[in-house]
Amino acid sequence: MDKKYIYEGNVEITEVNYQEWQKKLKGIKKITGDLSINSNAKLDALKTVGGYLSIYSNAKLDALKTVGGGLYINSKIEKNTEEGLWKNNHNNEWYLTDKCSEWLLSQKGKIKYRINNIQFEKELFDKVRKDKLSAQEVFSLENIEQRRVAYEKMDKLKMKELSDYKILEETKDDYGNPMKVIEFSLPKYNIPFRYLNCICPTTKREYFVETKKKECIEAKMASFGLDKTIKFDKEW
Amino acid sequence: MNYRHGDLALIAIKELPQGLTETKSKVIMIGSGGNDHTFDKGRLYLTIVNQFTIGYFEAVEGTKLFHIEHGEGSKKIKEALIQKGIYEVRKQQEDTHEGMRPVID
Repeated sequence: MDKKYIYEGNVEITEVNYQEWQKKLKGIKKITGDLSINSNAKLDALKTVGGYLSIYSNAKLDALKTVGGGLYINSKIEKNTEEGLWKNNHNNEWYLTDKCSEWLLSQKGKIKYRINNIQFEKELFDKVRKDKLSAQEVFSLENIEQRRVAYEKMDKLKMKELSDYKILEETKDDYGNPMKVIEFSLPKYNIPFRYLNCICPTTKREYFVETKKKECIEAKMASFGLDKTIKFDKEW
Repeated sequence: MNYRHGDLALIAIKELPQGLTETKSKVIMIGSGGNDHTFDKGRLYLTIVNQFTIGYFEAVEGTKLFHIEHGEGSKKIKEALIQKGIYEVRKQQEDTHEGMRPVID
């Protein structure tokens, strides 16, 4: 291939720089490195990406056939684009999210499934994205990040399904974020289930950490094996 | 000073226990989701003391902890500046019906 059709290196297209990249990549048929697209970029001539392809938007890449590395698809993309990419690269590693089309999600291959950047097995991925888990099932997830994401996706009215659901204590942490200890019962268990519901001070994500304690601070410190009189001077 | 860095805690102690061997790694704790807690300067002594305490850390002036999510700044890897001192390294656990279990993320 003539060198004038090749772009050497990685390309990261965003909403801020997409016009500049569209100009620069006009007529380019091959990008030797990775291509990441987070804008509505249209790269009509592009046929080959040497490295990884990451798409976070409705990019138009109708001519793209070959991708050297994995394909991260985090949005619904043009039907022609996704069909072409799958047809020519189905043996690559694929990373799909709940934002992908049902068609793409129904394909079989070396696929890893993610919701909000957290990985799930396919069966659980489908249940979480379609909100098919009961509240009990959500709280039973061992992986705290999967539990967090499943709770985010869950219709909160399902909390009413939990028998004897109550809030044992509700307060705020040192960063002004709400925290509470919730309790509910499950069949076959004599002891109620308790969770510390708290917010990460950095990411602001909401977590449920299983505990035996009834108070927030006590539960939080006990999760590190510490007495409630010990304080964190700084938390991230 | 006591610090919490996601599911990792550094709790100030007066002195290091005797007989520790320095760990030649910059990873204080491996994140189960692949997001490790790392540091730049200081000495790390990993040793399982109990289900919570997984080692000791000696921070020097300007020691920073690094993690993709926990810390400050706009860089991809966030930074958390900690004070010079000796710390116990603790890992967060969940107290479940099946017993204590490390927080899995």
